[in-house]
Amino acid sequence: MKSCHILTYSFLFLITFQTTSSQVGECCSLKNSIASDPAVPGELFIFTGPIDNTTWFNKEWLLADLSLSNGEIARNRYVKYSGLLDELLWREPESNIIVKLDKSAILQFHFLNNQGDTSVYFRRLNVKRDLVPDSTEIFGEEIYRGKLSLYVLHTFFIERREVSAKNGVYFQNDIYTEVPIYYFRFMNNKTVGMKSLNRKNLYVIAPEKKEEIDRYYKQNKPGKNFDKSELISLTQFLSSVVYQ
Amino acid sequence: METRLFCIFILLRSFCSLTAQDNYDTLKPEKVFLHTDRNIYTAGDNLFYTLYLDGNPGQMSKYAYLVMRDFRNSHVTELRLEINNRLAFGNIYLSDTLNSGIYQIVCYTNCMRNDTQESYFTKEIVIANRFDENIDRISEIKGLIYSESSSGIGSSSSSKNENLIITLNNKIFNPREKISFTIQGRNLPGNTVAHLSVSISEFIPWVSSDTDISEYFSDNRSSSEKTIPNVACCKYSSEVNGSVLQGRIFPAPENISAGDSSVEISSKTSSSYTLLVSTPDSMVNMQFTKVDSSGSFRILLNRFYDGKELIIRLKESVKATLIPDNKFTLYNNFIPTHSFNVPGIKAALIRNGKLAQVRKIYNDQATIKTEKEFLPAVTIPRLYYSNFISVYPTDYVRLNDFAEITKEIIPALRIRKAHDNYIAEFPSLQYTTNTESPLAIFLNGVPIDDINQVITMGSDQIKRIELLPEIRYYGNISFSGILAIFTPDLKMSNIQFRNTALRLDGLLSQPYTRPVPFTPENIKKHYPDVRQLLLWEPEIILNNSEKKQFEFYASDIEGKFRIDIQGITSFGNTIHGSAILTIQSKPN
Repeated sequence: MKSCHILTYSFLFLITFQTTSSQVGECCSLKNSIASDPAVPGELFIFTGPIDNTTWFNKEWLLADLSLSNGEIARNRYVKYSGLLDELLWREPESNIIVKLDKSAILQFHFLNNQGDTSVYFRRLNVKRDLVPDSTEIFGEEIYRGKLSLYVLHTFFIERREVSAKNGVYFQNDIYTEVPIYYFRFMNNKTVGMKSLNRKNLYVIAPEKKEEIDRYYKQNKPGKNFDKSELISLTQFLSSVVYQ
Repeated sequence: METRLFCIFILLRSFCSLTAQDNYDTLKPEKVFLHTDRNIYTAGDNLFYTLYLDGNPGQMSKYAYLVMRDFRNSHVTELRLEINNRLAFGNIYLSDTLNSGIYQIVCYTNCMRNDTQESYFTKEIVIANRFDENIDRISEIKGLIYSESSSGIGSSSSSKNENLIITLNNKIFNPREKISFTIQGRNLPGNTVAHLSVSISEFIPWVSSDTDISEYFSDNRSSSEKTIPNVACCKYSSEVNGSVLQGRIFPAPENISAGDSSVEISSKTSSSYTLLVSTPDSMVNMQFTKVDSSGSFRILLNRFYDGKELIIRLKESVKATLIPDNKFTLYNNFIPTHSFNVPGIKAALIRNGKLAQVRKIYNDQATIKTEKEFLPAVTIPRLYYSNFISVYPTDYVRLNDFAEITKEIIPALRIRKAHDNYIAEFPSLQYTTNTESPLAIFLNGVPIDDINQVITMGSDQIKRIELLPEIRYYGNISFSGILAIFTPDLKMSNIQFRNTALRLDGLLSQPYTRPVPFTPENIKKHYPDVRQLLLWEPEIILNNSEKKQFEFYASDIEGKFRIDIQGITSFGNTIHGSAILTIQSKPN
């Protein structure tokens, strides 16, 4: 038993010493250099009411890298994106306070691991939205980036309202449904937004290539709801048609 | 059993030591080498240089520092050089007013400052002022006998392990003749790309030639003497990712607890201090860092602050002394060696002065071309971007002070007076805040202590006011709203900070410059051509098996000229070569 203790202490000593020695070796080079840790500006997020759990893009706080407008990269920040609010929230690690980050400060954010998917990028876009005369900034999920890029804005609308009773008290619950808005962005940064990817809407992207678009639809027979791979292949096709 | 365990322990211990040694051996210390166009200059000349850096790939410093000092140790030039592809190049104008004497150039990186000053690159140069008739500071040591081998003339390339072959089309040339030579690498590792600097300048007899780059970088004296450094000694940060601003904070006596004789801030208080860095600008800008328990701070400065007036202050209301690290401080004194105290040096310097006079009269000065300028970044570390309220006080009738401005045209803000002090706050945040941080007030983009510093400002002194009546976060620091005031001149000179604050000039990297190569068309035919530097090419790229040709023109000066080429490959291998050519009028 005593010898077992000595052996354990020896191993503990080994680990400690090795860590220290490697720190000594690197102290004047990499260890002693400061990595960029830019501050991201934002506003204290105050919940004015409960946010429906289904409207979060990521229900849990996920690590993300944020590319900032000033060229810096803020790495490993715990963030949550709300499709309903179209806002990126950051959990301040020391106080756990939730901060709504300034949209203009962020060019792009990348979820490092969204349920195993490491390729989820959101990009800030300037688009014209309904009812608002000026262009507004949105965060669109990057589906495909090329000569013609496709971004999806995850918007939510109240589909119906349900009344439920709990302990004799009646509550009204809003049931949300996602209505994605698709934004195609050309190389000249011009964006075209559409709520549905039907043939007629796609004619706007390439008015002279109606026949090719028709042929694509006949061959591929996409349904109303496109999955991610279908969206990618559609954008690749449109890209090839537009930039022929 | 215990003996066996003891043996295992000893084995583990030796394994640890070996691992530690391996870790240390794989990291080589950074070294810099400076190749200059000449060693002897006249005041009013330009000194051209190329700086080479050797270190660990991917972990090398981005910046090097160059100090030129005289025998009194007063700094004549302090420069920050930006390193790209292991090198930096440029020029230093040697002012007309410099005294004749021996000067020392010292080069180092911030990382090298953790080692002793002996590891810095040093080089002596002589500067003669043409108005100094008696060059007293440079004495001639009598009895020295000049030999060609001591000056490097007689030595062949192979004997000096030169790995660059220089082939001249001739050995003796006429004045003003077009001269060409080729260079080719010898025994260079495959697929290497070398960056070279080429100097062809007048050869001064007796003055020994400099140590070449290969000899300097292979000299492991400093690293072998070096013991394994301990973490505490590495107080200067490597500038691998950018420029670092660091320093220390010493609290004023009233902030030190009774009985504390040391000047260090106690760990309990100092770690809660936040240091703010900003510059006067038309936008609110800021970077911050937390002060550590020893009172030290270090911050990776955004490139926006390069070359700008920095205002550094503590966020907290505390009296303390802020001492930023001066990267140009040299602790060892410069004691000139006698390498230039050789017979004939005075005559050579007087002659150089006269030639400089001729060049001045005929306006024959090197034209300098700027290849790359390192301007501050245009992207600003902003505290807010949009959704702010803008107020232009000049749009309204004249208001006498800020209290009146607030009352009349900024109803969202409230200013009240308590104990002869004004306090500003956003009433809308009174009940929504859970933070104790006060309202952040900025004047011309710089955070100030409180509203009392701007309370006397009337509407005619203010160009624009920006307001954000919300709890703002910037990283992990918070403010109960932001009030930003901008004046037409964007000046901060009248502001006296009550809390600890410091004004500092941000460093700006030297531009990459080179002289425009001489062509006969540049000079009138009947004008004398008394160039002592025939060619300076600060950056030549040479591929492994490539043969590169150079062409230049001889001047009217007859005598020996030295071709000196130094360089480094992309893998860190050094490369150098030298040759002597003679310019002499040949009888027709």
